Order: sequence, then C-alpha cells, then structure tokens
Amino acid sequence: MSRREILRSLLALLALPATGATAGPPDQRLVSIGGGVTETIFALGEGGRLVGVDTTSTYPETARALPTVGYQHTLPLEGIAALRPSALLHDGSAGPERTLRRLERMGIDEIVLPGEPGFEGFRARTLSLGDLFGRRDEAQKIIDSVATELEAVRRKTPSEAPRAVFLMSHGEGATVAAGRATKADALLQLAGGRNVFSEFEGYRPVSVEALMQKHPDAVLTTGAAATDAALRGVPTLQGDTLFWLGFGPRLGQAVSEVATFLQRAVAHDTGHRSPIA
Amino acid sequence: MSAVLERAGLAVEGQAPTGSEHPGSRQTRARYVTLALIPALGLVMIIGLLTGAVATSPRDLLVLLPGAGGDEWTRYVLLEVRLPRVVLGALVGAALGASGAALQGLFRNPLADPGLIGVAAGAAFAAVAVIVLGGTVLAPLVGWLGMAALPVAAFLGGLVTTLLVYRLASHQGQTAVATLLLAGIAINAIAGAGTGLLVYMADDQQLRTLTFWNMGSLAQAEWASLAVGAGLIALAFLVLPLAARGLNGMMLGENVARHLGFSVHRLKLLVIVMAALAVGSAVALSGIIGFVGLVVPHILRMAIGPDHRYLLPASALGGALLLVMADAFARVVVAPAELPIGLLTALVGGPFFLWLLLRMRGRLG
Repeated sequence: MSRREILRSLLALLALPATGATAGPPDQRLVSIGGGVTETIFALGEGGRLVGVDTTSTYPETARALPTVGYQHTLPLEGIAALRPSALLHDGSAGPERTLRRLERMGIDEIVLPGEPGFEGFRARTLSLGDLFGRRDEAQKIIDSVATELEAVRRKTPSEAPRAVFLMSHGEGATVAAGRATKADALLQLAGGRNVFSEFEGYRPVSVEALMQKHPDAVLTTGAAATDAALRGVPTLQGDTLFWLGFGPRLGQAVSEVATFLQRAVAHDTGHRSPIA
Repeated sequence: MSAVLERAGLAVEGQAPTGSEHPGSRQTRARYVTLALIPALGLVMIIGLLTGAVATSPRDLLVLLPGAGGDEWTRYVLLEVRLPRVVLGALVGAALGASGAALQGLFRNPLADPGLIGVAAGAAFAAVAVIVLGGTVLAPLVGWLGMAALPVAAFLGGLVTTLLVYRLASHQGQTAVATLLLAGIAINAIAGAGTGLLVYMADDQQLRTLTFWNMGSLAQAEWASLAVGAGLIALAFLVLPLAARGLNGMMLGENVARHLGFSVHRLKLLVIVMAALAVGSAVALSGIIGFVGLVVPHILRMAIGPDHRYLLPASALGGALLLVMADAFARVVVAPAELPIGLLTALVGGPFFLWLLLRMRGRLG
C-alpha cells in the first residue's frame, strides 16, 4: 500500500463516527470491548464488522470465534493495531488510557458509548450503536422488547422489596460485594430487590460477619464467587456475569430470572427465618 | 584463589570447579564472554524489533535509517511502538541484572535478588502511593517533581527497603542467608500489604493504572516516559563499575577488604544507593519483574567467575538480553493479546530458584 492510499483510508475511517446516522462504510472494521457492547452489535446484525473482541465478549457463540485482544483494562497496543481496525468501541471500560491515545494517533478511532448502569444506560448505549450503524429502528425494537419484559416484571413485584446481596469473584478467591452505582445494584433494583450494601460505591470485599449482619433474603453470585457455609440457609442463585451484567439485549430475560428467584426466595423464607437471622 | 574463597565461606556456589585453571585464562574468558554479549544483545534487539502482532519483514528495518521512505504505518509500528519497547526491555533488564549482581556481591550471597529481598516491592509501594495519593497527601511532592515523581518515589522506596534489609540481615559484616530471606519475606509482606491498602483506597480510574504493577509489563513503553527513567538508570550504570574492585575485595570478607584498603562503609553506601536507583527506576517504568536479577548474575558467575569487573557489565548485558527475548515471546504467543512479562520471568525463574535452594540446602542449615 502506498503512503497516500493509507492516508486516504485512514481519513475515511476517521470520518466514520461523524457520519452518525448513515450506514458505515463497507470496509468498517471494529474492535469491541465489553461483552454487552459486543452482544448488542450482534443483535443489530452488525457482528460481521467485528475483527476483534475482549475477554468478556463471550456471547453469542460467534463472538467467541473472533480474535481476542485480552483483558479490557490492559489492552495491547500492537495487538489491536495488527487487526487493522478503523475504530475501537467501548462503554468507558477500555484502558489503559495511554494505549487508547496512541491507537488514535495510529488512525484507530475511539468510540465511547454511554456506560451508565441501569435501564437508561442500556437505552442510550443501544441507541448510540443503532445510530452508528444506521440501524435506529432495530435498536428501538431491542429497547422496546426489553422495556416490555421489565414492565411485566414490575407488575409482579411485591410491595416489600427482598433484601439481596450480589457477590462477585474478583480475581483469585477474592469475593467482593456490589455496592451503589454498579450494574449489579441496578440489576437488583430492576428485579424488585433491594441491595443490602448501599452504604458504599463500587465493589468491595466484605466479611462473612458483615454479610450475616445484613440478614439477606437472597444471594446472587457470579463465576467462582463462593458463599460461605454460614450463608447456606439463604437461597443462592449462581449466574453468568455477562448475562446478568451485560445490560444488552438479554437484559429483560436477566431481570425476569432474578426477579423470579427473589420472589421465590422470600416466599420460601416466610415460614421460618434462615439460620443466620 | 578459589580455595581461599571456599575457606572464606563465600558466594562461589555458581562457579565451575577451577582448581586447575589458571586465573589468567579465566580472565580472558570473562573478557570474551562479556564482549560477545554485546553483539548477542544487538541481535536479540533486532529480533525483538521484528517480532509482534503486526507482520513485518527484515526489509522493513530500513525505515529506521534517516531519510528513508517506506510506508507510514510500518514506520510508526517500528519506531513508536516496538523500538521504545525493545529499548525499555533492554534498560530494565540491564538495571535488574546489574543491580542483582551488585547486591549479591554486597550481601555476599547469591540469593540476594531485588525481588526476593523486597527492594522491588518497596519501590512499587512508593510508586503506587504516588499514583493513589498524588492528588491529596502527596500533591506537593508530585507538583514539585512532575513526571519524575514516580521514578524518584520508587527510588526512595527501593532505597529504604534495601537499607532496612541490609541492617536486618547483616551482623558484624556477615550476612546470614536465612535471615536475609526471612527479612525479604517480611518486607515483601509489609510492602505488599501497604500496596494492598492503597489499592483499596484507590478509585476506579487509579485502579486501572495500578493493574500493571502486580505482573510487570513493558507495554507502556513510550519515548517521553522512557527518557526520565533512562537517565536515572544510566547514572547507576556509570557509577556501579566504580564498585567492582571493592566488591571483589568484599568477597574475601569485610575485614580483608578493609585491610586491602577499601573503604567498606563508602562501598556499601555506593552499592545500596545505586542498586536502589536502578531497581527503583526499573519498577517505575515497568512494574515488578521478578527473578531477572537472580537468574542472570548467577548463570554468568558460572560462566565467567565472580570478578565484578566483568560480572557487572556482563549481568547488565545478560539481563537486557533475557528481558528483550522474553518480551518478544510474550507479545506473540497469545497474539493479538499479550502475556504479562512478569509471569514469564517467574515461570523460568521460579524453578531456577528452587534448583538453587536444592544446591545450597547443605549450607543453609
């Protein structure tokens, strides 16, 4: 490729995000960071544009066949460059920052999607992606179907919110609980539950005693996060991180699964309090 | 000569039996090996330049020549992505290799690795403190030092821990292996706990910048940040050779060294400050990369003997060679993703360390 050709193609790619609502150029090559973002791109029928994904992008099955560029916070500069993408898509979770700046200097654009937790974040993110690919209608359809499912869950939600804990495996053996302003917290709320750890923001390691003292009605865990024997009396549901916290097209399903579990947990609990209570 | 060393109970485990060998021939060999390492490093650096997720051919190296044309993309990949990374690998490897050799000479013990005895952990703790507390408690320091704040803090952290380990492990000029390693465990634990505490206090954004300290990485190589650290490491390289003869004297014991006319106190201070400077800067640039400072000087001591006039430069060259090679491997083995380099060096260095322990088991008692 001559220098001029390269410059021209780089310029064409740079113009991509600005073109907004019109369909992207056919040679648009994207790297998607974040399982929820990847899932939404596939749901919009644009999965064919992806040339690389991060380790959290495990759904749908076809996403697994794509080259993986590793962990979202330690993205490799040359590894991404080698895929010759026109842009890198993420919802604020990609890093390190310096690598993103250097990718930009190499003509690889950074497209940052709205990343707020909750239904609003999901809506804004899905709409942005719809705009990006000129598929606003499809995006709206995804949002509508999720909204319908959420409404159905809301109608069944009991007046008293079950007290719930969301535990997550954070590296080797370290289990953390979700606090405020997390996607896990948003999931619990959408499912009609109440997060017992609302006093802190983000994810924090918590002791078994602190857990017991909160008298949770139900526990949600992802991955290898282990619940202690002391919590054995409390109903526990294990799930997939991406399914629950991806906040993509399957959000409705995820919320309804969690809501059903929470309601059953409370019903089961009414006769006798759990051993730790 | 070697009989004298044995009697003095010195760190000569790595040596081949040399009873029949004439000292002069060993010196010749040491000189040749050290000189041979220079073109070897050059070759490995070229291999490093040609290795990576983006496909390049040896002909692409021509873009490195001034005034050469060639395509913009390849030039950027080679000059702005790979070259700084290869240079960083060489610098950090050399710093770890040379400081490992110097510390082993100072402690008169082949197990004195900057990672094992806690110097790297101390440096990392200080660097993490600058990242997490840079906006609050340490703001004046960061404002005053600017971009140099991180390497300077890492240097100070490394210096304090080296002095501490030395104080703890040396008694009347003797260093007890067990005490040294146990002190290293304790200091690693304390520094690790301090770092953990800071990580707990860090916000999400800071947490992401901290990820790479644990495993070590050359991925952040950039000319701008390289310049500061390179200056500090270069200073250590210029000064450390001055300690070579003194370290040779120290092998015969502190008292003998004193009688030979070396100022032992000044020598110790020089080695500790320079080793801390090299390790601290290396940690600031690339996080904790273990075992290079242990493996490289040891292998070279086996090959060329314990004369520090050769051992110090050879360890610097060998460390550079090892790290550049390991990083080239780390970049392609799971491409387009990358392996953390600290993982690779630990994978090679861990078993090597166990082997060393087995060999020394009789003496550790």
